[in-house]
Amino acid sequence: MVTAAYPEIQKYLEANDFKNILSWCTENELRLQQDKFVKYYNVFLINYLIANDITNARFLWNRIPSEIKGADPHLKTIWALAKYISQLNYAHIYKHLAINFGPELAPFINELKVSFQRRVFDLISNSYSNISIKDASLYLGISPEEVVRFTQTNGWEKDPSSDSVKPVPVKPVEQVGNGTKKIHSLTDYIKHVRIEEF
Amino acid sequence: MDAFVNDSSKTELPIKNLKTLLLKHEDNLENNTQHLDQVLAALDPRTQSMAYLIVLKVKCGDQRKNVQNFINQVSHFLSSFNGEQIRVIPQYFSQVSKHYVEQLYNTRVPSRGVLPLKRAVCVFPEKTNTLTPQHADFLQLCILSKCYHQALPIISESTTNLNPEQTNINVKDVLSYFYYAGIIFTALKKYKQALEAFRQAWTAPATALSAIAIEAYKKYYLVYLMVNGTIPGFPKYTPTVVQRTIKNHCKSYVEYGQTFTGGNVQEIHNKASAHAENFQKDKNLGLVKLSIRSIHRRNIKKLTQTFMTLSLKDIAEHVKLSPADAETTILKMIEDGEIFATINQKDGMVSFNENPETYSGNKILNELDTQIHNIVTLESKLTSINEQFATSPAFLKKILTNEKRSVSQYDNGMEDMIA
Amino acid sequence: MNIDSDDMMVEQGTATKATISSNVFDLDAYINQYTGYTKIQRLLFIADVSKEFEKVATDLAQKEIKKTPNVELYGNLCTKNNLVTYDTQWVESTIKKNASQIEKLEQDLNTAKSNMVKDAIRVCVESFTYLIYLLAHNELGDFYYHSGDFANALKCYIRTRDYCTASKQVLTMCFNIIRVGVDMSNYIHVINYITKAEQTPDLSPQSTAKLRAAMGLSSLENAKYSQAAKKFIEAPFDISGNLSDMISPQDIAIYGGLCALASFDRSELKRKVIDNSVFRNYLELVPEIRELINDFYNSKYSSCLNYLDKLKVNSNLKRYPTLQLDIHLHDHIDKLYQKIRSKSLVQYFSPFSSVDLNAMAAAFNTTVGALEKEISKLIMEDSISARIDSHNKRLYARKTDQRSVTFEKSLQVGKDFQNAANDSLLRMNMLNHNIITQGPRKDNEKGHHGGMGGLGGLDPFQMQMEMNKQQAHHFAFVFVVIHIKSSLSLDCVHVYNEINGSWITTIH
Repeated sequence: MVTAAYPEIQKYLEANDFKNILSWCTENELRLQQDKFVKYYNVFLINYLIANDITNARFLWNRIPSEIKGADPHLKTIWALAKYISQLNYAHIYKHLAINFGPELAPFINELKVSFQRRVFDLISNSYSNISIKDASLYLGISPEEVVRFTQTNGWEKDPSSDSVKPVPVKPVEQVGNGTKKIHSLTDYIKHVRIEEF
Repeated sequence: MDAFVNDSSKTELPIKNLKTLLLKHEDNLENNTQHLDQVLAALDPRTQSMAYLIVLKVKCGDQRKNVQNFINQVSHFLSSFNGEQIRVIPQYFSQVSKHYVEQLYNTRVPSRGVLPLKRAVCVFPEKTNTLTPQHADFLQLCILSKCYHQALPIISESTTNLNPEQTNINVKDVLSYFYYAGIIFTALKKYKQALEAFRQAWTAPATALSAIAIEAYKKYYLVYLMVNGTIPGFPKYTPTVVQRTIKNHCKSYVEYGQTFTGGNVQEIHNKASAHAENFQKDKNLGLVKLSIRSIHRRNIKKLTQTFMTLSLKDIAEHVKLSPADAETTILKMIEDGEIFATINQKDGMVSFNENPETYSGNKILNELDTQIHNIVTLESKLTSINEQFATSPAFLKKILTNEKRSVSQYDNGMEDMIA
Repeated sequence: MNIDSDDMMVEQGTATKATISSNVFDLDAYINQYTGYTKIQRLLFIADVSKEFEKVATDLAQKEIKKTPNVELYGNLCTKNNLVTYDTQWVESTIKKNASQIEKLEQDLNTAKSNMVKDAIRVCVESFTYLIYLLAHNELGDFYYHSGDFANALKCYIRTRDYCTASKQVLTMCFNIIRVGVDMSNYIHVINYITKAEQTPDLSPQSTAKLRAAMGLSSLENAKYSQAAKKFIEAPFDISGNLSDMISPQDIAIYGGLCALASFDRSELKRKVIDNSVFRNYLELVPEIRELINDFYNSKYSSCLNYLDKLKVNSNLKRYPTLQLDIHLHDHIDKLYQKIRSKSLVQYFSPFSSVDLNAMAAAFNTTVGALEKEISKLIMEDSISARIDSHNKRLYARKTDQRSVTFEKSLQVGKDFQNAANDSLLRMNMLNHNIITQGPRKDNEKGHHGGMGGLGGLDPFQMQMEMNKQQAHHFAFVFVVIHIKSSLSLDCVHVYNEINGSWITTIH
């Protein structure tokens, strides 16, 4: 049995619940003693990137004391990755994502790559009606042949005349509401307005 | 010393009596500063908060104290104090917390104070939405330690109550709170809320101009330019002294604003560099740069009003960017939801679509629900305040005197006619 | 003296001096419609503005000036323009003549004044002396006017005001002042005295014509095109030459027609211009303007714009010059044309839901690119509600969805209300507890206010009013929302308009 590298968040990790990992980190950054939290800075930073919160990632980087920045080699690389994400320098992003950060950070980096690709894919689907395969391959970080294969499984057509594909917009998922609660609130409002009239 | 510790355990006494009892020991404590640490060790901040606070306040005056110890003690206190006991001696609390912030700043560990003060801010006031001097201290620490996200839940709540007797708040605390809140919102890129906060700072009632108001106005001006592209006006409740004089203190900003509305990018750059020194002194140079970057976005947005489709080349020409840059900017704007468009790389065309929001469906229903709920609560608050005023003796007296005056005028008139 | 216009060079293209291909323009015939100072003024203007006519106009101007005792103007003309040889002899003799004339007139004036004082007792003689005095002033004023000393002329004319007994005299005075004012380009005086003159009873149509034309002219100079158009159109028809010292009937037609076209909407245009029998007489004098207006009304835009261009630059018309040579229109012609063009674009598009830009460009004598630029400007000014499809080169009309707009606005009202209410509560609390930024005080007065925990500094009436307003706003919001939830889009609009209008006042 391999001992968990990050015991406190192990349960979240197993459930792939990255949102809770992020809130745990936010709460405990100041609460725990400095030396106990040091190893979590990597995790914290990567999780900000997974949530696409570049602003707070930047502030976190500014907060981290310089000794820690110097001591941990991975931290600097993760920050470089963050900078490329904020500039949308796709080529460098995917190059960095391919670096081996060690087995502890691997699940996080993996999740980052997957969520990033998904986000870019959604963006392209909703913004382009026709995109060249070269650009699509750059944005998604996969080879052109894979682009064709991947997109066609998602319903995109390949345009034969030029070297491009036609994205299909992605519809957001709708949540159904609670009917009885609505009726309660409506009656409350009417009661309120009626009382005012008197 | 022991008498003091004993007295502080008499928690069954009513608060006022406890206060007078404990304050009697204050002089004694001041003369025996070397024993203060011992006293603190014997006290429990949870149940004997008042006593603990009095000792801490005395410690503030002690120049020879061990600062680290002091910081630890205050943090411990803030994490566990009982609000009820503290509300009777608010001025002590303010003093301690301000000194605490100062020491944290001097020893360069502002982050240690963030969580304790956060708790203090939530526990100290009796009613929710009350502003305390500790709010300003807390925000100051957040900014110094760059923990902006910690402040966000506090400043997103609207704070409308003020209770100077209970909290010992003064005008500087209020203005500082809004000024810091504005800075934090700006850092987190929540510009609309930043504008609200800054505006509270410089439209606060005043008969004289304060430095905080001027600084707040400068930042407000720049953020307003960035968000709206036009020069801000004064709302009608701005105090007259502010309306008349505040622009004299921000001459470089006003000039920059006038060039900005002209729209000529080259001129704007020149103006910005000309005043760069002033902006740098006020630490607003970053905001100036952001405002220049916002020009491109705004120009593209204007294009969506006029055109349905436009080639990337034409767009690039209109906003004076390269076609590749224009494409990336448009992509970013689509992602942020600022515009609705589709790019066609084959034809090199961009089609601008209308807002697809149809205002039907569950999402909008939920939003309307929450809004109405907020407004109904707000309205009941207003009604209760209205009633309070309408039945207050001062108001009734004023109405009566007004009536009497108008009646007596009428009487005088009649007399003149008869005579 | 007839200028043989045929041997004038024809030049195309624009320059800072307008070069016009107008080998058929008859300057003489044009300028003979005018008399008095305006004739000279116009000649000088033409000389300034146009290269071809510079020599001819200057010559004519010189001759005209010599007919008047205006030595200063002559001097100015010669120094500016070395085409004219300085006639020293004439200058000297005129100066002598002027001096003696002034002496004589002032003597007359003094005698009249002293007579008045002597015979003040004899009432019947008084009115006679008044008359003499009046005439003296008028003569002096006329003299100053002809010598070009407008300031003194104005002074004299204004002085006669105290001695005017009959309305006819008042009228003469007003006309004199108007004349001077127009020539001085001081339109404030002009407008004042026009109003005065209009108040005198029994105005003859000729007088009315003159007054209206003068009023129109001043409005034109002030760039109030709509007013100018109205005044020109109301001028009764008069080709007797009564107006010639200021304006010609053709001018009335041109100025009135162009201003009307630039500023009236369709129904006004039809009612006041096309169907107007009086103004039609003027339009007959300048058939091009009549055709132009009719074309615009019948949506024949390209023909209309052609006429406009011809009038401006390429006049084949003998009796009047291209409009750039006209002294009053010169500054306004571009603006007027721009307005007319924009109006035609808007009118062209109004019946369509989508239109092909190529066809539209052809109709307006322009390229698709230039047309796109023009239309984008109009869209940004909110004159046209449409959007351009640059890819397919079409223009699509844009319909606003009232329902969405209402939703958006009500959500915004809700947010604004919350913000405003919270702000006011905070400010009220601050005032209540006297937490105000105060300047340094000499005496410590602020102590006692804080004790009054109730209604500190703020007038309770004001607060009551503020409260009411907040409630009203809130009401509006709740009402709208509940309405929206249970009704169709038509109702939403109806309710929403109520919010901006009467509904809130009923709450009060």
